[in-house]
Amino acid sequence: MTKVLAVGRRTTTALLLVLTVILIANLPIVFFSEDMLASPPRAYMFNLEMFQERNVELNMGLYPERLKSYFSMLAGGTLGKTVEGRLITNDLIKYLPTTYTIVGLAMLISITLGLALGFVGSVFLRHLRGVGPVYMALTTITVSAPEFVLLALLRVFMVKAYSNWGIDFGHLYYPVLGNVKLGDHLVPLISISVVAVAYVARISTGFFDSVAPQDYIRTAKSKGVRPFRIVSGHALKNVFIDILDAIPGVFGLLIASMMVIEHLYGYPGVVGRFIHHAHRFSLDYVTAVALVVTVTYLLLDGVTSAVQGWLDPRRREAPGAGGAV
Amino acid sequence: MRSLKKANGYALMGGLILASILVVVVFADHLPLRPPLQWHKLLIREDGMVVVPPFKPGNGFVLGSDYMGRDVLSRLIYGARLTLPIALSVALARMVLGVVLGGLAAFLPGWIAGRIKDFTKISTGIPALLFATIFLWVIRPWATGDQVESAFWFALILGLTGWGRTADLIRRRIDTLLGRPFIEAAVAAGANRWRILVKHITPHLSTTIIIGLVLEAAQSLIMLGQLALFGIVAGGYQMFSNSSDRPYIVTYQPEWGTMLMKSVESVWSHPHLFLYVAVAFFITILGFNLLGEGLRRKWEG
Repeated sequence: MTKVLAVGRRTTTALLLVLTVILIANLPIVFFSEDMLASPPRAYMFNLEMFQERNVELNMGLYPERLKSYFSMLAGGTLGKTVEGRLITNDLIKYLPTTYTIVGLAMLISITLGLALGFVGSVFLRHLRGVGPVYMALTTITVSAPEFVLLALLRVFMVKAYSNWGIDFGHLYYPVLGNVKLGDHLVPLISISVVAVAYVARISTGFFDSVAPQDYIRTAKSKGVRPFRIVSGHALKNVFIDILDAIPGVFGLLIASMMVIEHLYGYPGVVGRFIHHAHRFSLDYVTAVALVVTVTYLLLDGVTSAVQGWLDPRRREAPGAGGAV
Repeated sequence: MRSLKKANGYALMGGLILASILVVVVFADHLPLRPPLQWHKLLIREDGMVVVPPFKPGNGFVLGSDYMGRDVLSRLIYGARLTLPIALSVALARMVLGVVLGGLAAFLPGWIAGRIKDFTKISTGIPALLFATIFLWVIRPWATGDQVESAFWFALILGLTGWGRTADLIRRRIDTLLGRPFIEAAVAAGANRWRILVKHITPHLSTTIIIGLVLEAAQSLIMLGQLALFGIVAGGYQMFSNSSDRPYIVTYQPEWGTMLMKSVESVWSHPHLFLYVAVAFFITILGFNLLGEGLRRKWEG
């Protein structure tokens, strides 16, 4: 009975959060001018006269009407239509896999490589004179490099490599077609993964450092267990449990980076299409993408909390365990 | 020398980077720079060749010129006068919201606190970029031509869409403080909830707020750069129709986001234009991150 109540409470919370996202995503309607409402969604950005001048006006009366029409559309079983007149659901089915393939791969790379770097950094590099600060400084530098900086560097490198050394990167040079084969994903994947790897490496180094003085590690040391065995057998599991907390956040970080990459490359993904539709004031599309990202985030949060509970009995029994939902 | 050795390396490096930027930006009028708005149609090089913009580095243009023959270095320095205050305003707005909501989540009992925590978590998870893009694109504050108004809208929208991380930071810090012996002593002495908050918790939050503010300024700069790539910039621009279908974008006021947006068009033909602005963003973000990390190590261990 208690479990049923807990599931009911979490479902209610999730529905409330989804509702909040819908309310926020439709809020920009209060800033819409008559021109924007005239024939929505229109290719507004290319209408120069309308674009040059702007007096910010607030029209709160539009908001209830917009919500009413949106919820009646949801009740009709549709998420609306794209600016090209296609069903948004079909658009999501077509473009979501590209985005989530790269984001999924980047998450996998960032967690595994970040954890490995954190382990190496904490156990080996931090104790070497002069190397520890360099390692930490490098991770700070990498975290500070936004994806557009990395993208610029990669592009300049490819241009120079072709003009100076004759190395032709072929379709990697400008993989605008994308989604053809795995190689097409390489440059976007590198561009978004680097920061996430450095981020996970930083936090996992901290987690390894915090685990080191624990009683169970000291006991293992005093019993003469080899250092590698101490880490792999005792520390790694606890660090992994803590790292799981960061996974939903890493997802948010990667989605934001993916928006930039898809937009710059003209890559056929759902968040790049988001910019295309946002430029044309399609609130239906904006809300649909915000909902998809929120639901994915909630699912990731739920799954990571469940895995944490499964791996760590203390978390399972702790009051309020189970993440946001 | 000894005190320099004892100093925190991260804070020292970050502080040096930011102080250098600050000095150059504040005293830009006294530096031998070309005016940031002065444009050149043609340039006669030392070898007698006549070239059209964008000019390569040299011939009086340290970092070259943009597509209208304006000095890139000068525009970068003067551009920081708008970009950096916006980034700091965004960080401040997020911190104010974070302190209020994080404080409420830590102090209010029961259901409301739980929902604030959930909302905070979701707010952290959903990229603020999604909502900021649509709100700023609809409002288009840069089209008013008023840079102060433009900066205000950027600070407001980016503050409202990205407060989750700071609220979470503050709530965690208050939760930690609530478990300390001096709080137990205050409770035993009969202090009520609000007295504990004002007299005992708030003074201990100051370091967390400063660290959060510095690190959040770095995040705000990243976001300003990302938004610029979507055509959302504080500096403003005008579009003109030419023979092709696509409008031609002309930028006037120097601002990093505007420069980044415009340089994307010529990233293949003149990659250095994009790279210079990207590096300016990177160095400043690095400065804020190093300073924040240094302060965190010094104050929070």
